[in-house]
Amino acid sequence: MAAGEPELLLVEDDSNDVAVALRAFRRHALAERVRVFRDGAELVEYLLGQDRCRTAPKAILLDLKMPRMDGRDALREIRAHAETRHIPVVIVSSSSRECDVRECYALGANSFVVKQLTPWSPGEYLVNAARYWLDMNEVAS
Amino acid sequence: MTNLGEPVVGRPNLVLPLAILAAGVLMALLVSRGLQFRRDEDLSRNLEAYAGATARLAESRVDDLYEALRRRAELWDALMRGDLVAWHRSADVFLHENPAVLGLVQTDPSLRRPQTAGSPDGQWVLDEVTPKARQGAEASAGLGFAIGPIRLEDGRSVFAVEQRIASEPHDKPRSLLAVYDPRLLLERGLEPADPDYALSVSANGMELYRRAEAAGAAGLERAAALKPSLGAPWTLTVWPTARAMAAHGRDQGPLVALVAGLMISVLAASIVHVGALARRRARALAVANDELREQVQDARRSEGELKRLSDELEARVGERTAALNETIVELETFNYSVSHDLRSPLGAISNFAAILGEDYREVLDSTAAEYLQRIVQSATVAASMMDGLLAYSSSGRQSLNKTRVAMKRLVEEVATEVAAAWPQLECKMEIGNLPEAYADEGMMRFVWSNLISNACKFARPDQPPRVEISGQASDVEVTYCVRDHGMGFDMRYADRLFKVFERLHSADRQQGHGVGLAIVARMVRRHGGRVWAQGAEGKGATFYFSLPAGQERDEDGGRRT
Repeated sequence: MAAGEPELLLVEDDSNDVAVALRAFRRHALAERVRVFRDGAELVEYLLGQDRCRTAPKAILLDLKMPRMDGRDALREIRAHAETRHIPVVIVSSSSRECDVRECYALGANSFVVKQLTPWSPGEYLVNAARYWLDMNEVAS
Repeated sequence: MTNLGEPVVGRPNLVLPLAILAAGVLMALLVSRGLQFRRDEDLSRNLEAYAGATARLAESRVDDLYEALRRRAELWDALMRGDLVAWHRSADVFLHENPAVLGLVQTDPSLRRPQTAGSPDGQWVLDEVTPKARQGAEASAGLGFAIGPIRLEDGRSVFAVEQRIASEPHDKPRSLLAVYDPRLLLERGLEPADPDYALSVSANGMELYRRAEAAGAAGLERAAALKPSLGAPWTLTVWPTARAMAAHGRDQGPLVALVAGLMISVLAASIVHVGALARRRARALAVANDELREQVQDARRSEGELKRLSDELEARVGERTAALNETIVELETFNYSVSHDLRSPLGAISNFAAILGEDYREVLDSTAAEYLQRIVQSATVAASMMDGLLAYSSSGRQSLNKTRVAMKRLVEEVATEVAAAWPQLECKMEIGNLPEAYADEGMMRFVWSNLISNACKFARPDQPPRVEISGQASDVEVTYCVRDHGMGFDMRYADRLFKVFERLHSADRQQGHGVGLAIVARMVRRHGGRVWAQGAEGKGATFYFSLPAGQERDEDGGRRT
């Protein structure tokens, strides 16, 4: 694993959510292992573009609603290429609609987490999810 | 057609047939009258001819008698003067030859007395008549005279005729007087009788002879004068006999002509009238035909119009329905996206307020911390309401999947779940006999869960919640009921229970989205059922819902409530 390359990719256009998430990661010393992308296009460029990464991330936390390339298109792109097909993708969405959940799994998502609004410890659920994918889940290299 | 101007409706034109009828009747009458006139004319002429001929005949008979008498008188004067035996013999022969002569009286100055000849009846007549005859003879100065009729006592009428032989002017006249019965004379002289005519001969107003009929028909008798060579003229009256009149009457020419004429005129008038009627009917039919054709065309037109309108209406209804459905979908989408999209900023508010409270705990005083707490709390409530709205919204879109649902089993499961969710409530539940239902099991689970947890939550603070669940089936529906002995509610607000975000208890005391009962009502209504509640403040509440009796058919019918 090359140094400096992130293990967890967070794809989120909402800066509030990004701030909350990064704060939570920082509090649990995970921030170093996370890199944030503003939309699907950035993510796909990072994963499959000219100047692509050399090591696949352990997981991608992917928001659904984003400008430009949204979560679904990004997921399709990831699953369409052999280099990225095996990367676990966790959908993080404020929608809990049955149809959205079903569609995402059909597109190849590995998990679906609903953005939680708790009056205590904001973003803590992301930390929980990240711990699982970073430290417990075995990935294919 | 020239009489198109004739009115088609109303009474048929009767002028022409009536005119024809009138003309025909007139013609028939005229012909009949003419025939009758000619017939009567014939009758009259025949009568007149007969009267004339008979009068001549009768006249000649009388004159023959008078002439015979004159010749006998001359003969006797010349040859038989003084020979009374020869005279009597000759007189008897004469009387025998002329039976109408009843008696003769020869007067001659050379004779001692007038000689008479005749039957005893004749003698009697002579005795009767002679005095009168003598008076007449003296009154007349000529060579002969005739007087009569003289009415005898036995009713007969006789004539006295005297022929004088005047050799010398101042001689005492020699004469032959004869008395005869004109009836006998005419009876023989006028034979044979014509059966068609009756006749009567009279003189001086006295009837001498009558044959057949008693009297003539008025206006039909004809009279002719009869002028014997001696004496006053007689009158002969002739009239047709009843037989002749009957025969005359039997001549039905005029009647036949009249009847035939009438029939022909009626027939002609009828033909014309029927013809006119037929033409009129034909015209009326033609008009009616035209009208009918027009009506049919109208009907076709309006049928087309109707179809067009119907299509239009259908299209419009379709458009409206489509528009409505679109609106519903838009509303749901709007509702969803509002709830969904508002979550992010709301989440941010809640999150950063919480972060502020945690990260700067040392800096903030207790009031600031409390305010931050309120911000987080409010945001959480708002988020919860949005979750409720989302749930309510999706409950309308969710498809209905009806199956037989064993309600008893379902309620027992739900009751267990509720008890597990709020163990601290120590809710005591009594589940009665629950009839099964034909419904969407998922929705029923939500309904029961909501009603039962409400019943547990709204308990009175002073006693543990007790919930009774029961059901009842009728022919048309199954009704279920959840009764608690909790805080209850004011019946005045009963209808508000089932509306979104309506709360009868303050938000502080009880948590929840405020949409649970609204969703329950929506789900029950989507099954075609009803939901209602009864209760009183502090005396517990009872929630009821009913579902249509379980038939194995789809009763959703695409309904969206």
